[in-house]
Amino acid sequence: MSDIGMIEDTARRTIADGLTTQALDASEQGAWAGALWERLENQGLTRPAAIAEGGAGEGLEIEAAVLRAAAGAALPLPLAETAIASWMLGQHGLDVPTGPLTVASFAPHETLTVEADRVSGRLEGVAWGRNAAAIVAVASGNLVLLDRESAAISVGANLASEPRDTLVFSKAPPLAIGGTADAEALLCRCAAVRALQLAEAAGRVLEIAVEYAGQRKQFGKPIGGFQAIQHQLATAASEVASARVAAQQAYLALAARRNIFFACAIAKARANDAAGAVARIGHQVHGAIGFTREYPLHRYTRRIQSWRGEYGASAYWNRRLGELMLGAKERSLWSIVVSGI
Amino acid sequence: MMKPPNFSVRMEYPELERVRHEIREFLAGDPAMATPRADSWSQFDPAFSGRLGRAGFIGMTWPKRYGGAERSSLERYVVIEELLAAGAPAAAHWIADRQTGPQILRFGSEDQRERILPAIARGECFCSIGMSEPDTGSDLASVRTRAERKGDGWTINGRKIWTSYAHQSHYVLMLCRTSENAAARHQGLSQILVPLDTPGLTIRPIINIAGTHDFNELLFEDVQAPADALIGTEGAGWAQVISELAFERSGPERFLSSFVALEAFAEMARREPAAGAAALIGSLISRLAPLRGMSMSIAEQLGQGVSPNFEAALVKEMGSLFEQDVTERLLGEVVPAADPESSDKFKRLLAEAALRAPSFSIRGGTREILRGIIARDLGLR
Ligand SMILES: Cc1cc2nc3c(=O)[nH]c(=O)nc-3n(C[C@H](O)[C@H](O)[C@H](O)COP(=O)(O)OP(=O)(O)OC[C@H]3O[C@@H](n4cnc5c(N)ncnc54)[C@H](O)[C@@H]3O)c2cc1C
Repeated sequence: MSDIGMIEDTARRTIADGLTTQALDASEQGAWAGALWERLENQGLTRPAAIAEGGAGEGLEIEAAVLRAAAGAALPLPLAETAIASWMLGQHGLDVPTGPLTVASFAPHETLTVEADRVSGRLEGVAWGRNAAAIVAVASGNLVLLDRESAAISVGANLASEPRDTLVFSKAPPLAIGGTADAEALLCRCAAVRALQLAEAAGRVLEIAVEYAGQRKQFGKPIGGFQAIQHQLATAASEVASARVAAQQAYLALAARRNIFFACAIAKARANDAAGAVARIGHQVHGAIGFTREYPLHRYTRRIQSWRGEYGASAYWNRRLGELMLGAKERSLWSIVVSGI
Repeated sequence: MMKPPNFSVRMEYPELERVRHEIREFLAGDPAMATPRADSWSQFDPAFSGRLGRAGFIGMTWPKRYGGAERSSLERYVVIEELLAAGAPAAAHWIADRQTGPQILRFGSEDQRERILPAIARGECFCSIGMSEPDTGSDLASVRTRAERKGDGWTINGRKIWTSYAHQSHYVLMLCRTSENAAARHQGLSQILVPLDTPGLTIRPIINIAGTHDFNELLFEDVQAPADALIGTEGAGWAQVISELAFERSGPERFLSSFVALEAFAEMARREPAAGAAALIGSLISRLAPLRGMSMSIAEQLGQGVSPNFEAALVKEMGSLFEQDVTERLLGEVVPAADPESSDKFKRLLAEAALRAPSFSIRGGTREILRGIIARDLGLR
């Protein structure tokens, strides 16, 4: 097995060992799965870049492997957000604090400003805001690292009961201020991560549904023997495959530092739609059991339905992608598909 | 647990830049490109294929001693995607280059290779696929056309149908029954390469929905073929045909057939900005880019001798839906719509693509058959 494969495997096992149904349920009630976080931290899995420094591969590749494992288990911890935040800090040469981190990014919500080294403004829908030790955001065109303790927090949650909090800062002293930062670059980075998570959650829905279709019997045979079910699952399989490839392409673009907007826009739009289609099929194949809290399907489909909107729904990215391509008046669509933009 | 498909994509393909430049230069200077065509791999132009072959773009991956250029399967991929994206009329050589040639290379005798492959590579020898019959569509193993060993050769009786370009090609690679075994239908099938001017072979035109003569019905009445018309092993026809399918199903012609209409739409939208144009283009391109990555990954695997049939079925399933959705969206959202006689490039290409779109999910294995294959790989059947 490759180093990357081994890391993914370790992450999967660590998560599986620590993530009981009780832990998942408690987390939905707002409990912080601290013990599991510590285990992941002890294994180094909360800091992919640090594993990379040990020579196991490229940081982004390791990040993708860890996040695949996490999304495939519906891990209720901000592993993804911590990865983005520490990557951004690393890019800006800032120290990465210990503990869980998060990021705030989506253009319409950005109202942060820096004045006389104090940060003010309001951040909405911040993932795991109440649990993060610090928050990475862009304020007045600079990257800032904010102390959670300096924010007034009103808690909220997405459809999967993952914390999505509103943080208000008034003249808060930041933990650090970096150089100029592009809010768009941060948004693309976040979109790529959600795309990967969506693809993996959809992959898990497909897996669960295929397994169920092989076991559940009606009319004297497994429902997976009915062509109508087979064809729906075949469609789901193709959606999952293309979402995974789109996410892979976004990570490659991030690593190459080229074509980032193009690849991330495509990845998020594709993963949004693919995961939406897979969630619908997953539920259809399950009948009523999939509509219960007891059966694990909802852990993935509720996340999918929330993540589709986070960091840009498909309509947003498709429109911007099309505008970018139409705006490049000297280039054919084809040359952009081939060589990027 | 099910085994996920294998698609590993790359960001850059620096080794492909040269060939992309070469084929773009070739197309820029070719007279056929004055009129780009939709579904261009169903547009038959022997003169174009001759020029393409002489320039070294047919049979590219084959050994030089058979007229090939010993280039990689990804280099070939680049050439065919550029042909499709430009709307080049590539039907004449398409089947021979994609399918029949590689079958002869893989299963044919030395003599067959030397005799046929160089002519294919020069763009002078064209081939048809003789699989479907009046009573044999999706259930391909039910073919009834018989080839009997008689004396020194084969005697063929039966019918083939939907045989594309049989009236303009040189050979048809037939799937025939060479021995009867009702219990095991997949046995006793063989592939036989028959020259299309053989006496006893009648070719009757069938006009398609677009009003053109592309496919045919073939009647075989005591058609004599020499012993060495057999390609590969007698009785192994089924396995040989199956090995063709990853080549047949995974290429860019499974998602780019209507792309030229989208390109023309973008040209129009740049001249006369229209509400919703950007969203429409974005929503289609965000499906195309991953599909292309998947297809290139398969091309790379084929070059390494792997037969990724599961992956190929996934590409064809998504790809045919995509190329149909291109015309669907354009017809549904753009006013004014298609017009086959129009001097406006967009209207003409949309008409051409829209008329042909229903075939996208039928030819090369129907949508339902493809979904069945995927379901089998998921372990459901
Ligand atoms: C433009 C074009 C070019 C072609 N060129 C060639 C050629 O050159 N050579 C050649 O040999 N053939 C050619 N074909 C034929 C093509 O391979 C067949 O059309 C195809 O295999 C389907 O067969 P059929 O048309 O007989 O449809 P059928 O098999 O009769 O199918 C009709 C419908 O029933 C569905 N169906 C069938 N079986 C099942 C099942 N088990 N479960 C669920 N649904 C099912 C199909 O999906 C389809 O929707 C061409 C077809 C087209 C459209």
